[in-house]
Amino acid sequence: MNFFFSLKSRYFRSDLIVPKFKNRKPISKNLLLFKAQIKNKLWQIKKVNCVNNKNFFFLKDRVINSNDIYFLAFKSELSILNKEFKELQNFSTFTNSSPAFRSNLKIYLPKGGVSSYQSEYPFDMTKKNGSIASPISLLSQKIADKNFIFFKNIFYKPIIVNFYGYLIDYTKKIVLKKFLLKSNTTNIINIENKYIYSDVYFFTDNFLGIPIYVNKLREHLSLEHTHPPHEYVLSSDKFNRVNLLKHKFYEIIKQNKIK
Amino acid sequence: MKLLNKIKLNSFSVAIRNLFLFKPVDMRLDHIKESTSCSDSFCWRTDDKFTTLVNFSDLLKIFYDLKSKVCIRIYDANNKFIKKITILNPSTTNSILISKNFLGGYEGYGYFSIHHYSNKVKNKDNIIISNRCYLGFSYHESLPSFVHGNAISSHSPIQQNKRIRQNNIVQTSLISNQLYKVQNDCSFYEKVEIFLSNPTESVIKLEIENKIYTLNRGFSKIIEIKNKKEILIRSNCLFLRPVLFCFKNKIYLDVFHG
Repeated sequence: MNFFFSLKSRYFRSDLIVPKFKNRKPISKNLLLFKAQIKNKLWQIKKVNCVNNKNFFFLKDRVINSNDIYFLAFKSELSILNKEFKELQNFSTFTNSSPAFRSNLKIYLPKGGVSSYQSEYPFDMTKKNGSIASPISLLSQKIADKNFIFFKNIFYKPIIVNFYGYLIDYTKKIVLKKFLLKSNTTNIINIENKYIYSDVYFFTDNFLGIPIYVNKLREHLSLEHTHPPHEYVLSSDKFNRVNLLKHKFYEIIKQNKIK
Repeated sequence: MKLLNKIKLNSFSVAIRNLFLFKPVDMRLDHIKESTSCSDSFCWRTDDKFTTLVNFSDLLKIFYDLKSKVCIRIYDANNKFIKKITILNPSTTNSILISKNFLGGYEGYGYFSIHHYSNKVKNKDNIIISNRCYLGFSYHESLPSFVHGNAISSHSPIQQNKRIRQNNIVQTSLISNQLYKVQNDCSFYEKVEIFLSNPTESVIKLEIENKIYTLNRGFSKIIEIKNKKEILIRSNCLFLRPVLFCFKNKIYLDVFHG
């Protein structure tokens, strides 16, 4: 099962288009769009009423809340509606597919600047703690007026707790900056130009998430996410290798003793 | 169990499974028996004042602490070799700009591959890495719009003395029974183009908006889409995922994979 989400910022508007079909299958009828939001330390499930046609649900900027998460389920799975949950669940298997089931997350500006990517947040990822390592120079641009990382975390427990993110120079073994981040939140991190060079990584401690990079130059935008490190290694040692890499970052944090 | 797996994955079984869509096999790496570097067939463009920024990591340095070299091989839309770039001792992350000037005045499009090599890696290490790259497409000198790689195609042994490359990861079917529908409504844009590259060793036949196209091995094609609400590709390729170039108000560009 996949969740979908959007981004909110004073710098741009954002729409989400959720398809009613898998890449390789015909349109599925009787699909509904739901949203989950945290209320009183519980996940509350509501049906989303939005513009839709035979192919898609269209969520416009004005109806989107940055921290709400969205998912698809069939009418027959309506028993979840208006209920409260202590944990996110695998509410519907419809979006289990290969290739991965994705929505289109688009950001745009009044004069026409626009950028999008096919986005999803897998349910399995919400169940895990861990860390992410993302090299920032791959998707940040010094020529841009603004460079941001939107770090989206979805955690299965309906809790909003603090954790830390870091900018780390991997070669010099220096922590350049430390940020306070929140779980179940779209965290916005402004990246200064002085940090955009080859060896700098964005690293999080204890919570997974998707680092989404936004670059803005006047009326132009770019939006894309980095891959998790385990997608670069396909051999059976992949998790060992990724753990070794992450261990190096933890060592750097430990040695720098940043408070 | 091993015998059963061998039967399920032999060429004949895969052909039958893909023909009848019974547990089809879209990609396979099981035939790779040595340390290998995989690559997508990445799109590049220098037509119509496009440039392509290629950002990539040194995977052997990051994950294996090894010195390596990286080779980027650039081909045109008809799989004709244009240029090879070799980067010795690459940095943690690296950038290359493919422009008309960089290609000696060549205006067009095609695909490139990226492979990592090191003589410190042994075959028995069974390392398989895959560079997914991040491509920034700039249109008429605009801010590059980034998209990451979306489908592995070729692989090459990491050992430097072996330079064989094969495109036998993505599988095909005997008939055009594969559908790929883009999960987006692109009517927001004025103009939509899709880039497709043949990631296989076979000839690919595809149908888009009632037109038939043939892509030979290594060929790529950009096709303008008229019905932007519903982009459907029918082909004999099990994983033919397009890159979309979407234009708004003539000067704004959005690039994403479908």
